[in-house]
Amino acid sequence: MAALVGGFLMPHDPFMSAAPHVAPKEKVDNTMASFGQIEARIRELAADTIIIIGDDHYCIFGPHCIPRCLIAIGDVEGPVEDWLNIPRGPIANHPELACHILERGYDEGIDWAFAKALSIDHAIAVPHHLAVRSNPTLRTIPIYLNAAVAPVIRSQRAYAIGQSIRRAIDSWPGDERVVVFGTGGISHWVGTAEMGRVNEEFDQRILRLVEQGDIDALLALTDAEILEQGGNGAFELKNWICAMGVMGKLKAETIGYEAVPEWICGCGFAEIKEAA
Amino acid sequence: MSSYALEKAMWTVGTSPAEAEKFRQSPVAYVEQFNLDADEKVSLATLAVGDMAKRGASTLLLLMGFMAVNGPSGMGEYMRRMNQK
Repeated sequence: MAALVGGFLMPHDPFMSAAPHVAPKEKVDNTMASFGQIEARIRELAADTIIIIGDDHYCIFGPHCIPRCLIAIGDVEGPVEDWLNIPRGPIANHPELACHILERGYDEGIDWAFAKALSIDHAIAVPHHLAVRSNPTLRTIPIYLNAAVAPVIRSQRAYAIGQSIRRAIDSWPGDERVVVFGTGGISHWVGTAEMGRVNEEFDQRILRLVEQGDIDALLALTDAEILEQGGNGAFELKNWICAMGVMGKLKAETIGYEAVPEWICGCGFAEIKEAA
Repeated sequence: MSSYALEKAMWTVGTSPAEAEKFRQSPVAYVEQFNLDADEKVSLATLAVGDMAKRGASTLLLLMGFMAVNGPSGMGEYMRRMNQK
């Protein structure tokens, strides 16, 4: 049986790869150390498959079609943005397990969209580049939730999708060792008049709730509250919530946090573990 | 739903270098291919991002389209226009 062996929450801020130097060196070093810690933990966990949950930023989907939840079941390549300082190329998927997650979701009422050939944006590419790429044996299943274009996915639905993914992993007959990433956030305002603002108080509140495994409190945050306190970019908490749904009852440890106005983002990292 | 047409226009500019070049060559001609009213055409042609945001266009798209037309050095000008009263 496949096993979920770990989970991590992290930012996918494109400035981290595209223009790290615009931030103070100490913050850059601490952020990269957090990614390094995740990279090392993946090796310790002997993982072979990473599920990365992110959201598109109107880079790969457009006004003509915005899927609420999408899984890549075939070829994966990217990133599409040429300014990320990340080489564009193929990324190894795990199509069989991805298809199983899709089919299991269909059985459970999850109306997945799916991609047979997906070009990814920075939401998947940046975490992959900074925490996965160095280990060429890892395979990556990209999942996109609509956590960026209003009306965004409901948090409760993001959590339910995560729970369905977990049941799919648990019912997969292979011996894969799976790690899940929830990516994005925390507070940031993208393209608005407040761009560059970081609400550290909100970010720390979120990290405390994650540490406590208090999914009920996170699900109780209204979209209006998230928008007001964390900005339009903080809807990406839904990616975290989905990953927490994969983990189930959990405890967590904060790996790091940096408020980086130069990157227009509060960058938070945590490891999530199953609670006894 | 003109805000959706504004989004379509900004997405087209933001995802295609050829379309961004067409916009740079003639913004007034460019906006004619979209289903916009007269005020919206002016807003789009002048990249009045603050005004387009007030009309309901996604700020993700406004930023992406503006930068595609103006290049990475355009961030300061984007913020000035976004904060324009």
